[in-house]
Amino acid sequence: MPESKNQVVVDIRDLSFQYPRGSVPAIRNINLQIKAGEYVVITGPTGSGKTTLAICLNGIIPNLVEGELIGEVIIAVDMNTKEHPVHELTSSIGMVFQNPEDQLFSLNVTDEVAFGVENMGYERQDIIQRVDAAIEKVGLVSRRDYSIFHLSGGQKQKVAIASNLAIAPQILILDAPTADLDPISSREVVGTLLDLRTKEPSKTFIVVDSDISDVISLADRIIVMNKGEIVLDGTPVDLLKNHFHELDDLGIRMPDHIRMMHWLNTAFPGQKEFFLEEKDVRHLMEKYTSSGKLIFTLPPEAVIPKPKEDPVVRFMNVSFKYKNGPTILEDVSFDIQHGEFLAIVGENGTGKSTLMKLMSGLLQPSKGIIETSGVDTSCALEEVLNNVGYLFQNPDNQLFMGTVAEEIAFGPRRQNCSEEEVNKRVDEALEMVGLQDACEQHPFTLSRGQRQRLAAATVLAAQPSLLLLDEPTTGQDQVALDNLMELTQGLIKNYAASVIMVTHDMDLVSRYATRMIVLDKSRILLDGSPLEIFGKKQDILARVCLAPPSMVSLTNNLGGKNECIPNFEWAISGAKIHNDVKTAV
Amino acid sequence: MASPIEFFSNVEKDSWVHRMDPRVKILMVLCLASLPLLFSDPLYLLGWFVLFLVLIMSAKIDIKPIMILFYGGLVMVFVYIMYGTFLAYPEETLVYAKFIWRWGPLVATDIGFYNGLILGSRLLILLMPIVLIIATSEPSMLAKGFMKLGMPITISFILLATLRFLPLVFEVATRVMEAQRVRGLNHKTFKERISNFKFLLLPLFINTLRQSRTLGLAVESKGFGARQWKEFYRDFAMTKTDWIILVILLIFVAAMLYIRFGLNLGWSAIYRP
Repeated sequence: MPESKNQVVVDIRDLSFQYPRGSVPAIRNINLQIKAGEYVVITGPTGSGKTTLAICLNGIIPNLVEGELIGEVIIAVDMNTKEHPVHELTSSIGMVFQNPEDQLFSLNVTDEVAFGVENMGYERQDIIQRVDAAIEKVGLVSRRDYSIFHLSGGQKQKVAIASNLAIAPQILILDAPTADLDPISSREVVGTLLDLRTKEPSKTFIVVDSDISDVISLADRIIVMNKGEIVLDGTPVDLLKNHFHELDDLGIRMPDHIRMMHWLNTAFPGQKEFFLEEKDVRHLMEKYTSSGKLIFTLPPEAVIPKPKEDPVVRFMNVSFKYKNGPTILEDVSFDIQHGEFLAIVGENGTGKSTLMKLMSGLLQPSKGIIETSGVDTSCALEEVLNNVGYLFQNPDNQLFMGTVAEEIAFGPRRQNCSEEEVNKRVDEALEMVGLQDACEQHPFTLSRGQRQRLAAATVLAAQPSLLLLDEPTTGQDQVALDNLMELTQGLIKNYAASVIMVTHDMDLVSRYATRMIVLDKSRILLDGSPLEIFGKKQDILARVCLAPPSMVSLTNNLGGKNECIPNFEWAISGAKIHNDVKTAV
Repeated sequence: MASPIEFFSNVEKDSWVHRMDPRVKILMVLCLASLPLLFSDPLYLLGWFVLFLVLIMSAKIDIKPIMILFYGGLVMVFVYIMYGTFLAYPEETLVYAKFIWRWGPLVATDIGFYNGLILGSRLLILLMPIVLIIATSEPSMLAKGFMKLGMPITISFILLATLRFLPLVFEVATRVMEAQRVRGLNHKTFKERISNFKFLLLPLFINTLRQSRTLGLAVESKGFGARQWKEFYRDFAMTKTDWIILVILLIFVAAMLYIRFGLNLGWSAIYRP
């Protein structure tokens, strides 16, 4: 039965939970009530306890995950999660997990959507009705017979949402539903959630994410967690207007238009309204620029190193295809200079990861030549690997030694450094990533954030001339990402290394990259500075379904100027406020 | 190693085996996997091998993505051959052997090798129909088919989970080996694989555990624990072709039983003192 609005559907009373090997509770003293039809975003930095809280709601804790639970969670008025197994709670509360790859059990869209309702033992006619309705709600009717392997990330996440909707729970939890998706897929999922909100107004949505950029427009309420506790709880406008710095300090990723809105509020004390929609912020900026109260100037473009005789990487007419597979890259040629920070962007399946594997020598080209630090990758692979550092999305793939110190020492030892040099590099790397106290610990006993820093340390200690970053934003909050980027900047500065990053995050590209390559249909479509591409080639980006950073849309043709500013930091560093305005900036 | 998309690539093809009702397919494979165990004559075993080869080819199966299924089987075949070859036969048997090789307590004979070969061949032949059914069936339809044939739900679920998790382990292993390779740890040559295996184990175990844990929690939160399978979205309906296949299968089983036990053919005494 649909719950009436204002009825409490989630009631958490004095909830604390500690994992068996945890030294402190993952969550503590949580008291929270969520009403029917509310759209709640639970946010906080990595390790703040938000996912633990989410799995307490659907009974995974205490039914399937061990630990000490104090307090109570009451779902749908009268279901205490301690007294009901997970499958009994399923009809009241569903959950969509972060990575679509890790949660789909069946091979076909319809089978996956039917999986839950079949488990519940419904009659066939009921199953058909529920499955068909759920597929229709998420807009996957034309793909109902597809194999899940042939869907985009966004479509897979929609299948996961549909399989929960088919069970028709009153509450749906979504754990970082867009974190592992490319921008197009993220937009698809957010569009579906917006649509569902209209179609099912009495359903309660709880989104858990450290990045609120995608979901801010959906939220009625934001709950902020830190160190296992709720530290803030309010409407989006209230929190973003009055607690912006607290959110920022916690490492919560926010879209640039919200940062700009906050800056405008501070720069123009008379500005009382706080807008959440990008278009409203743009109108406000237009108001101030057209009245002459605010002038944005374009900072000078980053200096791109001049081509040298000995580039770090040289691709010469490179093509690649897997045996009996389609062509992944075709006739690709480019050089990468010392000290360059190159971002490689493009839709999924355009060959970005293949390009990285070719540079590191993990794959060999079908045609053409690749040289890394002057060495042909097909001839002297060991030498190539000595010069390349590769930071994977998942740090656990690349850690294998017995202690943190041994893990860091592995690279320098492989390079035949003296023991004295090895120890020096280990100490330096430990200090850079702040893991001095953990040097004798086993890598897998560290937290995920620490393991990510350790993986970075192993790369730094090897002092590579080429650092490859594979989707560095995945699973990172803003603070962790800023730290990683600081480390890479240090590598460029201290060792004249080049950094190559594959990413979907255009804000990250606009902030750090000095050059970007856009791949499309196995070839290089665009190659230039982010400022040039975001500013002047937006039509070409749109053709390959890539959206520029939000600051570009905000500043495009602002005040009649035929130019734009690609990121927030550039915008405010070049902004001039009229003398008449008394500003707090 | 094959990724899940490659591992299951055969499932998406279309052939008469793919179109069979899962129940008929299960019955067919059960019969075809158990009947060869009644035969030991190399000529008959060759006949079974050819029959299964034809079936696999008619089902349009590409072996490469599912080679991993054969690897495990081939190791077992090798173990069987070694076992048969070095089995401690009584001295009176050894007088019939045309070739004897002794090294300390180990004695290998041509009779033992022949026995081992027959044992290994029967195992390999047993593996072929299993590959046929895994390569042409969606795991969930297979598990549902077993359940419709009376298998307890829990065992059907275990089967389903195993089929779903197997390619996941291979995928994780590939990713870990790639990451380790970039850091300078090789898994290319046999020697490197052996010496660096210890470095692969822990990350493989932890990553597989983490990924399968998420999958486990996701399916649990969709009522997996209820195990209330009664009816399914996709209907199980026998077609005319299914009935024809069933009848042909029954005739075939009867014919094989008659050949083996009625005519007493297809069995050659392996162990001849």
